Amino acid sequence: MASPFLGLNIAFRSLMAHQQAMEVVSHNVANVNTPGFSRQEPVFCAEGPYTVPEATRSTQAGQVGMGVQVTQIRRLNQNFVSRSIWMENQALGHWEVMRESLQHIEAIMPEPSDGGLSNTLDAFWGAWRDLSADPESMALRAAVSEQGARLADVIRTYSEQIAAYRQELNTQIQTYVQDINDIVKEIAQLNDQIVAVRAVGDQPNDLLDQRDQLVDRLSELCHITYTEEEGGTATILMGGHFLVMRGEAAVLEAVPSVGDPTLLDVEWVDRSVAVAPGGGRLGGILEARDEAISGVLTSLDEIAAALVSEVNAVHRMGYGLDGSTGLDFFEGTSAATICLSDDVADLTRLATAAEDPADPGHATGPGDGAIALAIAQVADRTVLAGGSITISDHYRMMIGRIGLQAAHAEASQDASEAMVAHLRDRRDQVSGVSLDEEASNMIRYQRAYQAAAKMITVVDQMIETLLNMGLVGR
Amino acid sequence: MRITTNMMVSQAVRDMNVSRRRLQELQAQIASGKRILKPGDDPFAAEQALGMRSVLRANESYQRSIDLATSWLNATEHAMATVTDVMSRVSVLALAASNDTIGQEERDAIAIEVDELLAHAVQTGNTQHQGRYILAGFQTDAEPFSLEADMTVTYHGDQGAIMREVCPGETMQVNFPGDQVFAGVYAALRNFSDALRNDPDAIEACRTELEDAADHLAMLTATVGTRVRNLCERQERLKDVDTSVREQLSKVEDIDLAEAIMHLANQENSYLALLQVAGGLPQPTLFEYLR
Repeated sequence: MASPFLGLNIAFRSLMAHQQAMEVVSHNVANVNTPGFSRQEPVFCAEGPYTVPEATRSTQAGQVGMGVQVTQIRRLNQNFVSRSIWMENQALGHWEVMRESLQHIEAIMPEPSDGGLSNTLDAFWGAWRDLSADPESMALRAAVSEQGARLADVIRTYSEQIAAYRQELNTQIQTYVQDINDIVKEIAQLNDQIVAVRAVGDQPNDLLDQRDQLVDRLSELCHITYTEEEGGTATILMGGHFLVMRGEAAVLEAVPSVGDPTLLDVEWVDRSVAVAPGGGRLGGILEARDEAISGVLTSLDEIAAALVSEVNAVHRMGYGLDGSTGLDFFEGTSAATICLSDDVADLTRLATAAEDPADPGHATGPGDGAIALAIAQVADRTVLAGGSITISDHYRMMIGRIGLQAAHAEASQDASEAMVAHLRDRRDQVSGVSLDEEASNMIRYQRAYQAAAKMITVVDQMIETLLNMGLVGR
Repeated sequence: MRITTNMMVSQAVRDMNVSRRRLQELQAQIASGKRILKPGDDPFAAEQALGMRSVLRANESYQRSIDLATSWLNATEHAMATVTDVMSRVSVLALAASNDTIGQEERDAIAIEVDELLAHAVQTGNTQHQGRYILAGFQTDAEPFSLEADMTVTYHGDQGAIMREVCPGETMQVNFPGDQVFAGVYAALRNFSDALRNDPDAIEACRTELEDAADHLAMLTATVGTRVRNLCERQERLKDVDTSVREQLSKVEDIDLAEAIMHLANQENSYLALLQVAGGLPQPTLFEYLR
């Protein structure tokens, strides 16, 4: 038969276990607002029974329970939900960056509006048409010159502002690359720590929470593949190349691009393969820059080039009031360089009259506005896309495309946000702290603690009774 | 299903954001009166709107063209009318001169008047409109007709046809080269004057010449009238197109103000309700009830 001190021991162990449980409650309550915190719960387990050897058999009848112990402090966390969040996060990051960029471009080219390129183009053609009706009017000539200069200005401004914005994106790219590098370095360190703790059989709960938080942030930056290996280490890949493997972290860097040194490309430091963000903010910003924004710049260049070549082609055939011919109206080759030619700084040299068929090399007369009219009619000629659309069509379609892409990005971002919010709620369902719940747990453990304390008092009295039995030590 | 404290708070925050976003959208729309503030708001409609605005601006340009063309044609008609009056007077004189009873003195007197009328007609041929010589073809910067000492008239202009685009794809000639209009008149007048002074027998022939010239002029005057009428029709058509495109543009671009204000009021109410609910969120937990 065991000694009465056994009962004392059991009660004492219960006291300890429930005190530990209270500490866990305290920890949970303290961290109710900590982002990424997974609540913890003590796992009570009845202690293995003590078997008393007896004279006639190896064990005494009856297994004597040894009380309770906290075998483990369990972290409540469903990795499955976290992975779903990480998958959706990259879409969220991607669409957010796309939407921002596209809406910035929309703001640079405000349409429909009176100051936009559409209106400026129309005003330009209108000025030539007006001039064709009265070629000798200096006022109308001045108007043509002014509208031409204004048109070139607007195109150049759009091109400059968009190119400048594209440059700004470089800073963003560098920030993202730096963020990724910092995060994966931390994750690698945590990997080592977590493995070390697990090796001795403990639960590195708070370290796991920290790592999950970091992966949360990382998943917004790029599309990752996450696997947990034996021993608790996390392996993270991006585009087939490892980001984190056990304690080792890969490094990215942003370097001037081969094709255009003013822009940055992202490369692995070991240059083994090309970097494929596959989504996330990094993927989004590269896509916005290399597809949407570059597409707009190309379109603007096409418009500028068409204006210069088509208007000049007609203008050169015409004669100014002073008889000069073969002059250019526009100068430049692209949206960044288009401007009014010096040839027509003198308004009388603006070509309005056609060549006299009976007298080659001379104009028909000052009242002839045929060339001015022909220039006005360039507006309706299908000079772009292999001869199928007009200059204005091309511009309108470009605006429509940007608008569509921006609207799509906004809708996708909203959808992703909703999805991520839903998934976070799901994660919170499992891992989040509910103060009510903790309060009721607290009551439970407190009562058990009180009961255990009471048990000690009772056993103490029993021992006293025992000790006061008989005359020994009186 | 477990609901944690944080779930409730983040839901409330999300809902408030959504509500505020909608409020902001409505406010921007009402302030500008436009449904489409950037192409992304409705990409297809934005493209349409741009196209319609182009049409309206082109229309304005064509209307200006028509106005100018009309004023040129009117000036030409006025010149023709003046010379027609001259021809009427001359025809009266020709009738008188063909009478056998008058003598050389009277014929000389008529000749003087005819010469004056010829000079007047030549001056009319050099008529200007807004500083341009409208009967000179392309040579609008110099007088087309000059009266020589021998009463012949030299034409210095050319046959240039001044074309104006009066509606999409359609051009119209707005001038008449002077010699096509008045050469016959001047020749007939000179011949008449000459016959009066030197060759009375030719007066009959001159009368025919004068009549032919007058008929030719009448025909051209009618042509001018027709062109002006055509221009009027184009003008009317352009105005109709203008009205209908403006209507369509408004449907595409503009908001229905009453509807938008109603939506705004609704949204404001729902936002207020949200705020009240969110305000009650720090709800008591179990801790408050434990002694």
